[in-house]
Amino acid sequence: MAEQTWATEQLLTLANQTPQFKERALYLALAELSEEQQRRIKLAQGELDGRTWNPSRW
Amino acid sequence: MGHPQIEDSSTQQFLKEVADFPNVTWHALTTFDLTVTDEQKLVETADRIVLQFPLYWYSAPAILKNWLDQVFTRRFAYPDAMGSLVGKELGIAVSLGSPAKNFAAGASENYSLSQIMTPFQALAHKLQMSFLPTFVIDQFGYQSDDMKARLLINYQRYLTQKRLGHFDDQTNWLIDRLTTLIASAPEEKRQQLSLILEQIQNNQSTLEDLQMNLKMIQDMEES
Repeated sequence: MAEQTWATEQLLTLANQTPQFKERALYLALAELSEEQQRRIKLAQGELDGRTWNPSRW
Repeated sequence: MGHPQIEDSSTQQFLKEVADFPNVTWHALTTFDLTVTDEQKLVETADRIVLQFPLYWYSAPAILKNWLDQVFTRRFAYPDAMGSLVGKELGIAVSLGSPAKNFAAGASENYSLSQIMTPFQALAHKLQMSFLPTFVIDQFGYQSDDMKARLLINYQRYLTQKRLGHFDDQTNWLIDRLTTLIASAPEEKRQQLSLILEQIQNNQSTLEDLQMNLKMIQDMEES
């Protein structure tokens, strides 16, 4: 996994410490969500940079 | 839910256990002898109807087919008659004994699950229902704990998330679950969970802002 955010780290730790299956499943799903959010944010920032610096529009 | 031996199915027992949402009705079919009007009343109360069954010879088991044949009468179901199902969603939760990857052109089963589910898709089309992507549970008995954890959440989302396949709705669904958990958590954990919730909500608004800016730039480029 790429660099994890604070929330992802906390959620994975919670998942490891939680014996209740349903609660553990929710932590894992939230950790995946948090990673996916980061991925989408990076992609959107990249696209924004790309479009802002589009030489054909200079 | 149509399964000839519900009590013996670990898959169905697992799914039943995790389907405990206030707005979900778990209706297990145990008999061929139905009171049709009662079944129809139950159908009328639902927004999303999920037919759940193990795949038997590429279709639903007889107990579920019997239910469909008896309950979805022309008068009850046809859009130009009572149209009781118009606008509702129809989903399929199917369990497989073999790996899902076998169901593809050129693989050992040679037909995809989308192809196999065509009769249900046709039914949804005829009755003016929205047909949802099929939810597949394959080889439950061989799944690791982490795979079962993922299955649990995905199944709960399949039953209750507003628009399936929309990331924003998935985010809101998980935020709702976390908010419910926070309300019942002990004080020391509540703080930690609230901070996590805050970060996820912040990410959500960052993403919304970025997408709004992108849309603005795209619109400008087109004009």
